[in-house]
Amino acid sequence: MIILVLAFACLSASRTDPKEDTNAKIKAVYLYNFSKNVEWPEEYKNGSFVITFVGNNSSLLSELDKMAAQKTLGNQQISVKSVSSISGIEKSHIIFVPFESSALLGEIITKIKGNSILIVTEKPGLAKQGSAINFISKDNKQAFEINKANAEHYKLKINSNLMKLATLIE
Amino acid sequence: MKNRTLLLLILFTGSVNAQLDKLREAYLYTQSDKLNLDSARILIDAACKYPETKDDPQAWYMRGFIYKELFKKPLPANREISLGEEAFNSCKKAMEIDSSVEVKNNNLLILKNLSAITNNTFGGALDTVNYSKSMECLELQKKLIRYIHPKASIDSVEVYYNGIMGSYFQSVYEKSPGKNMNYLKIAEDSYNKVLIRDPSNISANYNMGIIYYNQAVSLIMNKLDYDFDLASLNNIQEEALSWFKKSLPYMEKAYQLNPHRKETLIGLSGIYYSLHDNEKSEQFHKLSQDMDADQK
Repeated sequence: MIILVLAFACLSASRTDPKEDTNAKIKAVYLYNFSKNVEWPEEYKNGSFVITFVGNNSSLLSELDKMAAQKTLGNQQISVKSVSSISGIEKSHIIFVPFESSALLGEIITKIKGNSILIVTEKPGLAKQGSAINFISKDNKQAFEINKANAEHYKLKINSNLMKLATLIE
Repeated sequence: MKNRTLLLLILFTGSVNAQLDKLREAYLYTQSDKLNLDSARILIDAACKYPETKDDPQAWYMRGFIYKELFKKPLPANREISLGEEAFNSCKKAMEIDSSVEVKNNNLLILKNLSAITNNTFGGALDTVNYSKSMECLELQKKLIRYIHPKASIDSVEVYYNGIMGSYFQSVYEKSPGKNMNYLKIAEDSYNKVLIRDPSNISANYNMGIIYYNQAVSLIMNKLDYDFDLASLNNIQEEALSWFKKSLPYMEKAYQLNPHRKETLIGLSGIYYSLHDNEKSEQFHKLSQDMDADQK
C-alpha cells in the first residue's frame, strides 16, 4: 500500500540480555536479607562479611559484587569471593553453592566443620543434605527452604521473620 | 498540473463571464511562474460559491487540486489535516456533479496523490509532539482508501499505521524506560488496535510480549533495591510475575506464527527463565542456538 514511511518493526528483546538476569537480582536481594536475618556468633561480627561463591561466570556473582559495592552489614563491609575449588574456601559468613556446584556440597560440609557458616544452595533436596537455606521456585516465584537444624548445627540463629516466609524442612 | 482537459476548459475557452475569469485566475496562481496558493484559495473558494460556477465540476476539481497543494506545502509536522480533508471533499463533490469517466479519472489522480501525501505526513509528523496529527492522517487515509479502492479492506490501513505508531512509541519508551508511561500506553493501545484487526500479526504479538516482559524486567532491575525487606521483595516478585504471565501468550502466539524466528525463541527462553521454568527456557535457548549453528 502506497509508500512505506516506516517499517512496522519487531523490536529487539533488549531485556532478554543475559546481563539483566532478574532471577540473579532477586537472589542477591534475598541473600542480603539472609545476612540481616541470621545471627552469627560474636567472633564473626568483626572484619569483612564474607560471601564465598563456589564457582564463577555467573550473573549472580556479578549481582553480589554490585551489592557488596553498595551495602554494608552494620559496620562490616561485604566481601564477595569466588572460588573454583573447595581448597580455595577460607573463613566466610555465607557459602553460596550454585546449582552447577551442588555435587560439591558434601566436601564443603567436611571442609567447614567447626565454623559458623551459612550454607545456601539452589538445588531441590539440598536442605535435607546439609544446607541451611535452599532456593526453590514456588508458583513461578523465587522462594526458599530453611532447615533450622542445619543452621543451628553451625551455631547460627535464624530470625523468626525469615522462618515465617520459608518452607521449613526437617 | 498536467491535466490537459482542465487547461483547455479554463485557459483557452473564451471568457464567458467574470466568475469563469476567477476560475482561470485561480488556476494561474497554481502555476510556478505566478505561484500564489493563498490567492488561488480565495478565488476558488469564491468560485465554488458563485451560482454560475458552484455546480461546475471543474471548479471543484480545481479546488481539490489547490487544497491538496496547500496541504502539501509545509513540512509534514506543520501540515493542516483539514486542508487535506477539504481537498478530498472537493474532489468528491466534482465526481458527484459529473460522473463521467474523464472527471472521475482526473479527480482520482488528485486523491491518489493526496493519499501519498497523507502517508508521508503520517511518517513525518510521527514524533512525541505531533503524533496526534499522525493519527488524524490515519482517519483521512481511511476515507481516501475507501473512496479510491472501495473493495480494499480498511483493516490493512489500521494495521499498517497502528503498527508503525506502536513501534515508534515503544522505541522511544525503551530509550528511557519508566520515564514516560504515556508512550508505553500509546504503544500498547496501538498494538491492541492491530491485533483486533489482525490477531495473527507476528510483529504486534511479539512487540506486545516484549512490552510486558520489559516491564517486569525493569521492575526487578531498576525498582528492586537491595534494602527491600522480604515482604517488599515478595510484592515486587508478585507484580513482576503478573507482567511475565501477561507477556507469555503474546510471545507464544508469535512463536506459533513463526517458529523459526530467533528473536521470539530468545524472548520465550527469557520469559520461561523468569517464570522459573528452566526446562522450557533451556529448550527455547537451545532452539535459538541451533539456529545460530544452522546459519554458520
